[in-house]
Amino acid sequence: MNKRTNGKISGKLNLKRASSQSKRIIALERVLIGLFAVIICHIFYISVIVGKSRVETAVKQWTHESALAASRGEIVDCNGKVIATNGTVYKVVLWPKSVGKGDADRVANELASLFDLDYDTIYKRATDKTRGEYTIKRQVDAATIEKLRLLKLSGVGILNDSKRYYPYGTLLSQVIGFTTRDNAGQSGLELALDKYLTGQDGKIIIETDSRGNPLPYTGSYNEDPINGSKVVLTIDQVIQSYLENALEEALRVNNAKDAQGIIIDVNSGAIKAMSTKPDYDPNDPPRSDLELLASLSRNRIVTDAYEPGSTFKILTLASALDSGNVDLNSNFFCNGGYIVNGERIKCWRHAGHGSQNLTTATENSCNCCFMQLALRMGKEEFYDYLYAFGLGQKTGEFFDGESSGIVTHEKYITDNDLARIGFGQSIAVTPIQLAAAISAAVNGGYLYTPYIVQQIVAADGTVIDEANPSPVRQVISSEASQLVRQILQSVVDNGTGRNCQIEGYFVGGKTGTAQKYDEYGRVSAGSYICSFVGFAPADDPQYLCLILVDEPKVGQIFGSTVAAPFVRRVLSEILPYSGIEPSHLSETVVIPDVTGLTANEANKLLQESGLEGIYECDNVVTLQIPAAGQSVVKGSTVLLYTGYEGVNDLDDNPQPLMVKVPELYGMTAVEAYNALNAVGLIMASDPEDPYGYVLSQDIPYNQEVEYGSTITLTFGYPTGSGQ
Amino acid sequence: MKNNIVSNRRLKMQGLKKRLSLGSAQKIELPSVAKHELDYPLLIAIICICAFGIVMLFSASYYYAEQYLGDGLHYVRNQLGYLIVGIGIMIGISHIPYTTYSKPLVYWGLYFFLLVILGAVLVVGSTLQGATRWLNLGFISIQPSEFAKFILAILLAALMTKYKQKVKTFGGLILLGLLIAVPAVLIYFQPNLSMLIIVLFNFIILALVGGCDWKQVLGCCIVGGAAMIIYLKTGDNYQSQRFALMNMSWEELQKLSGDEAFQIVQSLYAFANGGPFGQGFDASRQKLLFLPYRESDYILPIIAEELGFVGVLLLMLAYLYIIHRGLKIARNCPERFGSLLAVGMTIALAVQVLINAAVVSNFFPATGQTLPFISSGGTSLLAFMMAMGVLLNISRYTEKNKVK
Repeated sequence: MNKRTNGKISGKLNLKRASSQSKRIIALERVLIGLFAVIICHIFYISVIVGKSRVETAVKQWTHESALAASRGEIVDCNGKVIATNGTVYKVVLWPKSVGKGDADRVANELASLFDLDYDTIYKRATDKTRGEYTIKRQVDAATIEKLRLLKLSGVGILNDSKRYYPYGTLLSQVIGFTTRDNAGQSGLELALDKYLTGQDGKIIIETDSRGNPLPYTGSYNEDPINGSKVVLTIDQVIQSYLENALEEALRVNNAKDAQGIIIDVNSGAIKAMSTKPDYDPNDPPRSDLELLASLSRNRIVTDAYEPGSTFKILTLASALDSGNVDLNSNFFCNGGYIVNGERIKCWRHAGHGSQNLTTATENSCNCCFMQLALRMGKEEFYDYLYAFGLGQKTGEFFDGESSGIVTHEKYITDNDLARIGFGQSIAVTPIQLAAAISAAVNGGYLYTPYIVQQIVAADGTVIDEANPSPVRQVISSEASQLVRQILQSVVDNGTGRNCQIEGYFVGGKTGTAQKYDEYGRVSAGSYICSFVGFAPADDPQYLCLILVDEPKVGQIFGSTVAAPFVRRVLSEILPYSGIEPSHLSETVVIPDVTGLTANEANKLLQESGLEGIYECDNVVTLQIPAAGQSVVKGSTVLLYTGYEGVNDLDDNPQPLMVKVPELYGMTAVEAYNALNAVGLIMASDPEDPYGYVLSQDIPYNQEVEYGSTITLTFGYPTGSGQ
Repeated sequence: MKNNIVSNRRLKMQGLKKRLSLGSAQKIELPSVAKHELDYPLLIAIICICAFGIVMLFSASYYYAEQYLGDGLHYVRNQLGYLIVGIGIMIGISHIPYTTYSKPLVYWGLYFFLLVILGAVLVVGSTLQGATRWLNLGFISIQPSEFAKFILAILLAALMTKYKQKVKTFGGLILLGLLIAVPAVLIYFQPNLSMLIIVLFNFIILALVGGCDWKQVLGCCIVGGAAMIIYLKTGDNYQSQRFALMNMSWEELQKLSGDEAFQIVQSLYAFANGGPFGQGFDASRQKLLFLPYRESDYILPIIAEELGFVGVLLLMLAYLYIIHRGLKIARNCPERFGSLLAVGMTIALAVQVLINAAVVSNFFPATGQTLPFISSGGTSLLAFMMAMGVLLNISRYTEKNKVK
């Protein structure tokens, strides 16, 4: 009972106490409200007050920004055939921040094994959270990407990438050049026109979760790339192929160091084809051998100046005709040399050409005649013409490493030099300068700067740049030009250029054999650059083709003729292709197959068909140019390659051709020269200016020496005979 | 007969108590007021927060669950299950007279049960993220420490009611402190520092409300607090690192964002991205795996990111409303045990909300506490539902109109 009352009392006491307890609870509530208020203020501070500035750094981790590669502009020929384009490949990137915790090891392992990379490097990158993106591998093919996708690696992104692709392989390779692995132009037009070809990369911002996986249902922000501009070349792929095939063969049959060629539209300067063989495939340039690559990718038509030799005579001829120093009736006598300031400068034919008029002198390519032409004009006048023809100046077109040639300033040249310039020595030009200058000489006198880029068209279709061929100047009168054409046609019809006759077309042309110099500036024995320049139709020139065969390892006789058949072949292909109708019917014959016969027999057979064979020694004919079955103008010549094993096979390192030294004792210099020439040997004489007869030879009769060797002969009068 | 035994016991106890100077034990009975309906506003507020929690949990967890677990509703389904069971338990407990817990057998039983399960955690518990907090019961994993704060509140409320004179003495305070210290040490060794802090805060608050001398409590707090600060400042452990982060500037934090500060920087990004009004429901970016524990301990930053500061403010006001109702029940309860128990249940909630909000906003260095009713986590939800059940039962015995 007591307890009950106690309970009641205690209940009241509880109430009393409760009131003090209640106060404490009220205080507690206030304290709690205060604490909540502090926290809420703090959250207000971090969300609202400083929030904005902090979001910026947060945005970076929510998105991945990657470059969207602009596709590089195509390079097309004048008919729109694609010469350089892009193939789709992939780029593998690593986003370290998205590599899952503890996943870096697997990521590094898989990437290392898939792409044959170093594990440690990738692992370091995968764990380097300071960088947003690492490129792991570019230009990865689709099959590898498929494997990669299956691995589902965190933080590994796959982006589109492009790889430069050249559908025609080696075609036009030195002109086009190639790109780096990153698709930046590295040589040729790819380099020269890089700023046009390279577009502007866009970017893609992909929203991802923290592991780099793109979010479903959210878009990505793209800044579209601006693709590179399209470059339209003046090159015609078909003509280019004709030229390249011809050069390929010229290289092969002559076992030459290289073969160069250019085809130019004489009435605009547009380059229709241009090549140097050997070349390389820009799809897979030999990057591991830089020296080789540098050599193969050289566009020698513009980079290599050479002493042109007789083809240069066209310019001397044109200048002399235009300046009135000569006309068709002018007469020239050649006794095998011409004395300038007391120095006897030899004609190539030591026996001399005798009396000639301008046409026949050109047909004979007589040095004496052209020395006289140069001397008649004099330094000043001749040099004016040479500069007017564009020599000594770069074309200014988009070629890298272009040479301006060497035209020694007139102040520093003697008449002797001037005379030599007259027949193409003591001056160096690039093939492209020569082609442009000769074009001017035959097209009516107008010099056009050669160009290769017809048009540059932006990705949106607007034309950024367009070639607008206009003559730089008129160098010679159209009458003089007409005479040049006439004379050069005669060279092909009757003279040294007969190998270039084309059935149904009039062709003008000129051979050239240029000396090469060794590293000490001395004439390099046995090394020649044989060239031929031809244009057609001769009465209304459209195309001019210049082909150079550098160091052909065949006989001297062939020197002047090596290049002509290939010019003929190219012109005979491109004239019908270009819709130029044959102007006349000429009597044609089909070339018989003479391989396997001896040269003499072959020549007899050819003569029966109204053709003529050119050969060096009476061995078995292994190769004939042009080939059997071709129909050529009656009277054409056929080159007969004899006794040269391996001539068809450049792949093997050919054994040096050995020839027997002929017996020369008692011969005159000219006889000895011809005898040596006939077997492909070079004559050196002691004394330098030979007189009398051969007294001795340094290499005895019948001994075998390497083809192209020099035989030194001692001249004089046999003892006992009076002087 | 019964009374005799009781009085015999009391005599024995008095002898003991004289020596220990415990004073006489107060008998606890239900208040004489008529039992009435429970506090519906409180019930509705709880259910509203829970419903809100389910919605936000859906938003916070769906992406991860869908992309990486193959079931977008994984967390929501689990939580909904716990919630339904939890509401049932809450309603059930609201019918059990709270005085049940004042029986020594019950509160001592609960206390020893707590010690056993906390001990068991240390011995056979499963370890996750470096802490051993979970007890795997086969069909379900529970976190015993979640119950600690409520069981200790019951114990404290009962003891402080029974020995209300004694608690005013320093000795009484120390004795209570020792009772708390045993489970606190077990929790410390898990380690679960934030739960330890919650338990200690609850103890301090209950001691103050229960009539302890505030100067003594304050003295203890200063001594304990100083000891803890020295420990955190000089120590070289996880807790001290967290403590150091709290004092860092934003720039310093960002430098460490790849490392120790990763989580807190990600959390701050979420608040920052939310701004005043939020990015909108489901528009959180940080939940895309950037912010760890976005569905559990760090769900508040996701709420802030989606609903903005305003959303957080409203949520905090909702919590404050529950706290207000809870403390009102405590004041209106005419009986000391019920009142203290109501305070205990309420402050357990209040302290946890405060700690969670302070932790995720880098205001307070601690880790791993759920946001009551919202964070994913069955044990936490059930524990709070039980506590609310107790609170609701006390609300049936309040003197209406005593406090407005």
